[in-house]
Amino acid sequence: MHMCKETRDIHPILLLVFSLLLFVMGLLFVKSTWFWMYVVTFSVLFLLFRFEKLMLKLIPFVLAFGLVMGSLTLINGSMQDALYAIYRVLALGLAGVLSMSIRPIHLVRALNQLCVPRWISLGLLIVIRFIQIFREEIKRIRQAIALRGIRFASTPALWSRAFFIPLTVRMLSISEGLATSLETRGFSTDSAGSSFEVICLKRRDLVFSILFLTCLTVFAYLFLRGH
Amino acid sequence: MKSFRFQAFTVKDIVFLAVITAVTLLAAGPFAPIVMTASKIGPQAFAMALPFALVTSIGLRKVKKSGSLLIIGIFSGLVLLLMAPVMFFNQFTGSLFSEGLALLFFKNYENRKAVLMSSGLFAFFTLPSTAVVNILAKGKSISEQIGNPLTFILFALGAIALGLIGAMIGNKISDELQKAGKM
Amino acid sequence: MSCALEVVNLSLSFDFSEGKTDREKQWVFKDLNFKITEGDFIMLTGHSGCGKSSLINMINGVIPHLKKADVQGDIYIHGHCVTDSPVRERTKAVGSVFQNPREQIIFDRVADEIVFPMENINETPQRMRDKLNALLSMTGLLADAQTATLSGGEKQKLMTACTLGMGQKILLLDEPLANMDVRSAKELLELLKRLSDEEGYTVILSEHRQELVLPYVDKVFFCVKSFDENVEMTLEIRDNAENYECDLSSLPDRTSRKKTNVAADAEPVFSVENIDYRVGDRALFDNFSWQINRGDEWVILGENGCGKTTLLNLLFGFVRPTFGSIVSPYNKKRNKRKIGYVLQNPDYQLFMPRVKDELYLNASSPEFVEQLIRLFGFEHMLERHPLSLSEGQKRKLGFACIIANEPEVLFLDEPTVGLDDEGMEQLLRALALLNEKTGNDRTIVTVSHDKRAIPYLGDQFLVLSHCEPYLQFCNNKTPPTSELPAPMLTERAI
Repeated sequence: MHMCKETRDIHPILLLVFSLLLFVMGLLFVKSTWFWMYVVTFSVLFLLFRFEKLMLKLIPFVLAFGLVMGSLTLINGSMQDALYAIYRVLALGLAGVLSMSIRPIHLVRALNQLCVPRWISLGLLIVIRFIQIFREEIKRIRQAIALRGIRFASTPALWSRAFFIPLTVRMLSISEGLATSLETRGFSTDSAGSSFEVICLKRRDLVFSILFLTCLTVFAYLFLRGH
Repeated sequence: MKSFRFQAFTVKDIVFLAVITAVTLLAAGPFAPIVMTASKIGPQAFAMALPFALVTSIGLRKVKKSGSLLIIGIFSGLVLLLMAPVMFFNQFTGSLFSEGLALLFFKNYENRKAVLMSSGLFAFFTLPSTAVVNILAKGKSISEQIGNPLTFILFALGAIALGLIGAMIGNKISDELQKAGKM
Repeated sequence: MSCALEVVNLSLSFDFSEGKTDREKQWVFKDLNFKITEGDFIMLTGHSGCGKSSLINMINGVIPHLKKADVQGDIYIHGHCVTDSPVRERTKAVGSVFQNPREQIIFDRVADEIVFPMENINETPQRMRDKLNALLSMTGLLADAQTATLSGGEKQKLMTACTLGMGQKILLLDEPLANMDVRSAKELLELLKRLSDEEGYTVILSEHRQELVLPYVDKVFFCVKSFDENVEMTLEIRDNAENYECDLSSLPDRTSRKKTNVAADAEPVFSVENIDYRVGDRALFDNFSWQINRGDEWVILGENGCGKTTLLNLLFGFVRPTFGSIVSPYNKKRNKRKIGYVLQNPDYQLFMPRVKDELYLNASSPEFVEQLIRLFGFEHMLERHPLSLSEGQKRKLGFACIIANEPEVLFLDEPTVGLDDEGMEQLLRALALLNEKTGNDRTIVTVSHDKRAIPYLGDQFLVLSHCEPYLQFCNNKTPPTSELPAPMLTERAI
């Protein structure tokens, strides 16, 4: 029988949906006097549900990105527009706390349980994992280019060649090796497979959902009432 | 006679398309600040056009099956969903429209012009969904998003031109690797 | 014991030329016949590119089902003919472990990676949990460990555990020890030996490093050159224990080489001064000092992940030390071009459309390139695309391209991996040629695991280790002959 472990992680599908709602609602609230109340309310909710580590991680991103966006807006717009631009980044950051807390494997298993084909969830995992692998690959290719004494500034065409040919070769060879490995590990696109862990709704998910939706409903009411 | 071909995707195809998506997202990464900060539509598509077209065209030359670009769109959309949920629609509709149009004209990817069209127009076709999302989420009207019509037209045409250039470079790389027996 | 695997008249060709008859075609091997009994531990060995991987890929079905090839003959697994069975069917009986585990791992947690194949074959959660626990204790891996932080050896163990979880009794391992240090390699070999002896697993392991594997195996399948000119290789089956060490006695005598610099007036080219270097929480170098003089030939030895390649990268300036400094005339940007650095994987360094273009790009003198062409036998492939060459040829080309620039300092990162004895000899002769051109003033720093080549790659040895005070020096003409990490060479020579 499948057991559902009581973990601290919120159900990934809930997190995705709530993240989307939070972002859209945040954008609607950007020009509202309630915006800061909106940010504070949900920040407190996230702190209660132990998202503090991710919130801390996102703060530098929000600050840097907010400043860039604000400055760019200030070139063509007013101070008020620049402020709204920063608020939009804040709304994005707030929504990001939820979506980025999802562990890819949990999302994959939850998607599988929703009968999403396994090749889609596996593809998602490969993309996430291989962004990092290819970041390292690109670094190595750039180092290899430097070792051959090629500089973009002096020979851009040769540099581009020295970059894209090895990159494509690495894409081909890595994907071929991975595909062979997956097939010999029994993976196929037409088989559903079983699941080691069942991602189900827990009490914690219900409490979080009730609190989140209550807050969101209050703010939606405030928005519809005309702030 | 030419006809639509819907062949089953093998594990090898799926893995290659996923790897292509990872590289596409990385290649477009440096342009992300422009994409996310631009308040008007047009600059986003313009900035993303070249890297997206270049990498996806290599993917389409390797996996010549109908639906390949849509799979890239779904994978990149799903990853971006974790960062900025609205980006999913952008990627999904961009790939759907450009692939749909290319297959309407060329039926399949055996013809390299189909690859050129599909990859080259990917960025351009993200414009409609960006506009719709902006209307729904930000309450911005179309005229607000377009701003100066001339600038918008220049950005849109630029996105098409850069997309096609990127796809041509991708095709050239694929040709060379095909000759070397790597593809 | 019953027969686990039987191969009957097995032939393989990648020659798709139209109109050729079977007799005219080029075959990798033809009409191979052998039987392997349950519980056998087999080593498949032979020079690079001889067809070892192809044979393994034919047994697991990758050839011809995933890689196109002309295949004839039959394969029987546990008495059933599987010739036409696709990979998915064969995986029920045959497990495969490949090279480059880093590129096969898709999950971020060890436990998720191990259960993934079990999920694919529809195991129940309870059975998966039981098997997972058994495999974790067998391999010593931790369930919650992050896969990205595992060492190369641990990653290979993880991939082996994935395969074992599927429960097949025949295991095929394609050069799983490549780039693994001796300690990790021995751990993996001991695990395989235990499975073979105690649990009746049939293990077929393809490997170059014979001296390492021989003590563990029951039989050796030796790929040798075929007498038929249309067939590349055939198999010789021997009953273990013979020593197949390569004979490199024809190589130039390195000890007779005269250095222009003697210790007293040696010009330091790299002075590593009390550097610290950390990767995450782990200190790779802690107050480390070292000096390389002009004309020195150093070989850096040590376990996987102990910082050998990082040290080369620190010297070149790709990475900077956390504390301390590396003083060198080559730190200046314009002097960087005088350093040649041969990377382990040639795929990163080859990008021109023809072999010829690759060799002449940045070459110092056409005469030297021509010498290299003759030495490596590139005459007939100058117009070919570098990427169409075999792995061994690509490695030699990558090496030749770098030394064609006649660098003053040469860094070599595992230059002989995957090269057969002939290729290794060519490489060492090219090094000798390079030295001749400059009156032996060339400084060479090599990272290597390859015990065949180590004696010929340098005369000073730097041993890096995780466990001991991480380095010791030796300045003997004789390299450390004991297994790596050497039982610590104690003479501090600088």
